[in-house]
Amino acid sequence: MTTSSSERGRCTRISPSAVLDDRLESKDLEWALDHLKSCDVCRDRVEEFREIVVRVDRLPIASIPPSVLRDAYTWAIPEGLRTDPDLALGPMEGTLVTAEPRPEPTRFELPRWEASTREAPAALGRPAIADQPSPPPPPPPPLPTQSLFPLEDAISTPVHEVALDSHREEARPIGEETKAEESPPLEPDARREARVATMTRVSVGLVAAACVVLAGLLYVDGGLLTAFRTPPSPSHPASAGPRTSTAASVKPSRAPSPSASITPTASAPAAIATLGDGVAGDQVFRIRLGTADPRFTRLVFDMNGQGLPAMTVTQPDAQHLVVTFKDTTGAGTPVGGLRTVRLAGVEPAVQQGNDLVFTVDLARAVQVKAFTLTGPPRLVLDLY
Amino acid sequence: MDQVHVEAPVGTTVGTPLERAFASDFAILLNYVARLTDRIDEAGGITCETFREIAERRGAAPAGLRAELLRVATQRCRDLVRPRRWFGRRSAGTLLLEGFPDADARKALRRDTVQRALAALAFEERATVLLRDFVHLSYPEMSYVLGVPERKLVHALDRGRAELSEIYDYIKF
Repeated sequence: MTTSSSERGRCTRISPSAVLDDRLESKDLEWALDHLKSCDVCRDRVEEFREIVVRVDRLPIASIPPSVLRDAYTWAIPEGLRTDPDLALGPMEGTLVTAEPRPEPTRFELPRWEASTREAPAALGRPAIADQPSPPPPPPPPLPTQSLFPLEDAISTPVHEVALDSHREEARPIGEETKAEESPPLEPDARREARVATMTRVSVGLVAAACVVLAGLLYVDGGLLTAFRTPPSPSHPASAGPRTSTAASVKPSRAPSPSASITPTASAPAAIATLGDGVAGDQVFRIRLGTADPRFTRLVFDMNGQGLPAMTVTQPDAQHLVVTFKDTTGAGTPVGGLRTVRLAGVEPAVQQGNDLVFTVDLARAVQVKAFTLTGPPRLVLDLY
Repeated sequence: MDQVHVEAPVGTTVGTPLERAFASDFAILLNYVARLTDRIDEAGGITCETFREIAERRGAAPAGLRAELLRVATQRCRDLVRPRRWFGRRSAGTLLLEGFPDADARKALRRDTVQRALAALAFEERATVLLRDFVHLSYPEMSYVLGVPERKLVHALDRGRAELSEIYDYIKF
């Protein structure tokens, strides 16, 4: 089971699973072993696969308590196919005979049909476990020997004579009986459930539609929110949008500012994190998304160099993060394709003197956790 | 290593074939279902329903009772994790096995790194990897359980293990 192709420049002539699972014939096996001696890539892949096979093999196995196993047995094996749980399951509970009375016949949430089956008189005909040979009990316990089927236990105990209709209510006056007979029959459960489900779906749909309409009114093009906003003061023309203030805070413009109001309003954003060892001469060469966990977005900045440069992560506004690498290059780092539910994109890097600045566009308000890793040096941003 | 060793129950030579299969395979089937669906609470119910379905069908099991059980359980898990349509009708409530999972079982089936990496795989790849490396099925049995020709299983396993390894490497730190 070998192939002669290559994938993304990697040698894939050998299927590691075929090697690990002994799926190779004699000739192929010889060829594969020869190839493995000479090809580091294939050898690494086989080792990588072997490691993951071992990890999956060593996943812990949850043990099941005997009582749960007995309940599962009662539910899973139909009566016709049951012989004796004590013999079938083995001595998992020591002895099947338990003196402690169990209040309910089963501890499952049974479907309705199952419950009715259990209560049916036909169920009484099955072989009782009490008939099985039991350990010699010198003093007869108050309840006979088994507890899996309390209904049968109740039958094997001394029986009191009770009138057949004793469970019924006292005879009511004739007028009430006729009234009850004339009342309309109850609606079948299935039909009632279907009606409730339909009504639920319709109501959920209506609520969802209302939410969409409300969101449209509020947020599309400013919508109704513009009515509540105070118009921008004519004396502060540059403070109209958050993007302007971001640019003003991140890149202190060298050109004379068109309005003097920028400087007092653009306060320096608070740093979320200041990281690194201050190593100079690094280069950021790649930015990638680093996890498959849907709970957060992981953005990883891969670097080449001797260590971690000084890095600062700031958030000038809710929609942007600014990551500054001191004494680092990498203005041509590709930033395409970085888009998730939390991440709108990463703008191309800007080299400001010796520093490299990335602006991360956020798709929603997030909580940011930043940390670094070495070997190779990386900066990791987790957006929650 | 916190692996819990489960002894095969003694006394499995008596009873019907289904009872013997229950005694020997219930625990591993339940663990397989829990790993496959990543839902511990519903695993017991799915396993019980699997046995029940096999018992009520009373059909032949060409690849053996164990493979038949795993095939039905895999199909039930596939139905369970299949995304529902908008406003689709929710399936009938799953049986809940009272007393399971207890604290020990929750500890054994906790979402560690390998389990999280498994959960990130596609369903078919996850099933393939688990059936081979966790349940230790043979290739013919896997072919029957998954409905995949035997000659394609090696490549399916290659894909699944490669992806699992890649995901594991990403999330392990």
